[in-house]
Amino acid sequence: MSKKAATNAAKDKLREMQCKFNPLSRSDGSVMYSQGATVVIAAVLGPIEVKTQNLSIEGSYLECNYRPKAGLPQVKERIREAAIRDVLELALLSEAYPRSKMSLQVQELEDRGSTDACALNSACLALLIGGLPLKYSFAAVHCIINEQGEFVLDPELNETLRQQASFTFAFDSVDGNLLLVQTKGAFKIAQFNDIECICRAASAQIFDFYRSNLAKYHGRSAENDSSSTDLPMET
Amino acid sequence: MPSKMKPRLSRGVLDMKFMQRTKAKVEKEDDDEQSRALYSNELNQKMLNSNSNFIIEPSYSICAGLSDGRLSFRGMNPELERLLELERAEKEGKTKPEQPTEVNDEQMAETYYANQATAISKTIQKKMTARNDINKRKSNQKKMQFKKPRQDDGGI
Amino acid sequence: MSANTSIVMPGERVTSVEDVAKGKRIILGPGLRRVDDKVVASKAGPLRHKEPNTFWVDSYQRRYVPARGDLIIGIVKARAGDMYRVDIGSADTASISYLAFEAATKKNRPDLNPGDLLYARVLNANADIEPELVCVNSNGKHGKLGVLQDGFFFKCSLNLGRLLLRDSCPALAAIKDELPYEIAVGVNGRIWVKAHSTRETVGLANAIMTLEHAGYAEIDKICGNLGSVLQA
Repeated sequence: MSKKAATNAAKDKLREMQCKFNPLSRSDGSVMYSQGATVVIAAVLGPIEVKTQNLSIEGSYLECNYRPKAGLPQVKERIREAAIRDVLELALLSEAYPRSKMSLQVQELEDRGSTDACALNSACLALLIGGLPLKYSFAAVHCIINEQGEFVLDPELNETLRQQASFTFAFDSVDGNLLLVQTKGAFKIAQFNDIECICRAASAQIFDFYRSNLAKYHGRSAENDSSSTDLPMET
Repeated sequence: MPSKMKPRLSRGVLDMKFMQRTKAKVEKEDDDEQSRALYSNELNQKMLNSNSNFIIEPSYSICAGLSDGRLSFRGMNPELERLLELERAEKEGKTKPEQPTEVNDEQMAETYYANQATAISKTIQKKMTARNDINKRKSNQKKMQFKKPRQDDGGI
Repeated sequence: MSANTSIVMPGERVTSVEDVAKGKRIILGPGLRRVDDKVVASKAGPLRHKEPNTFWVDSYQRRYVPARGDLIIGIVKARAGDMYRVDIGSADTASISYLAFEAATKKNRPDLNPGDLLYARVLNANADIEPELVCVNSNGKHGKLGVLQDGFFFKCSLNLGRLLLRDSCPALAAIKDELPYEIAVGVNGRIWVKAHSTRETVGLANAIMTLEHAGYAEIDKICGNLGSVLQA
């Protein structure tokens, strides 16, 4: 099966990922994240004060907003918001902060394909840098089957114009469980399985990206780690 | 069933004056049993038997042993600086390595017991010479007079 | 600087802590949680250890979550009956009783107005109830706590507050050599400074803010340059 997947893949590499932490000064954690030419900014606030109508004593209330590049959010953006919120609800340890609100804002800067996956990944990075308690981190990957029946991982916008089917998967970092599946178009179940495998493999790359970038951000304080372990030995 | 039941002391017995301690004990046992019964559905065997090795401490200040963040330097806030100075002195006093003792523990114990023995004989002696003592005190009184402090002792 | 700093990610099992926990009691700080007998991280950041048995994750954070015993700077928001409402940067506003000040009685209330800065200790912190503050120690003395008069107040990341309060931090001592000053650092990411002139105060604040993006390692170097920042 994997051999078939390999032969079917027209492109099985993710586009280049880049991120910049805390470009916004007033949020609790923010990130500018790009995957190829698709760029989004995600910002989190939390835990913060919650309106009484949304207050829950069981866990924190999660608010999620997605704003398009121009204009007001429409149905498409609402669907995207709902998808992000679903994944976040799974990943957040909301019972840690009852009677509070976690708020996530995603601002699309440039939509050049795979925006769903990109928004989810940026959301995860924002939560990580904002210091919100998570059960696990998550990564989303987008993949399509093009006209020729080839799999294209993380496609550009122009590649998605003529597609048979489109898939977005989100995986958790601990067990690799599926957190989100979005499919569109016609496909065979074997193709679905193949693409899930490809996406799962690609998600590992995204998790590595999270880790290395956070380590880089924390790296400034890395040296202390060694010094603090040295000290007890000296004394 | 009755064989399983613990023998209980009657109320009349417990109300007796010398049974007060037992009464408190019995009441505590009853309370414990009641609360166990109340939560018995919620508690499982694992919760009862597990003894955790983990303590949760949500404060960074305590975990990392952070110092207090209120400081003053070079006379900006003299009151605060005096406080800090006191604290520092106390801390140094505490962390000082064990002060070398002039008398070791064994010697101390020996002299202590020796002193006690003499103390007993002394008290007997004291009683014997009580009358003399009073006389002595009278004569000593002159020496124990209050001395007026000198003027320049006042301002330190 | 090095990209391969070892950090823990949420969901990751921290086996090094589990190993220690087998032998003795250990203290799990923020960012670590216990799932049955496993220790799992819930935040991303370097794992820190303090002898003999304390572990925590030093995650980047700007939002304060109250914890008992913390020393924080709060802003008086309002007066509500026999309480004052104080903003401490957390989800809930905190409350402080007017009796929680030195020599305060029912007749003799402390004179606090909205906007006043308080350096206070968190007496009670629980996710389910609002935090409570005090401005006296257990002996009923104000000690270092109380209202902060004049000076200049600014916010920073929680990490900067913690960085300045480490015992070995050279930054405050380095600034001391430049000018006399007074400072209050709250672990809720708020700092208050005061020097003799406005010019000095602003310079002082700038000097501290330059440390925001510094690591523990770079601090020594930056402290050397603090003098020039203060001159500017």
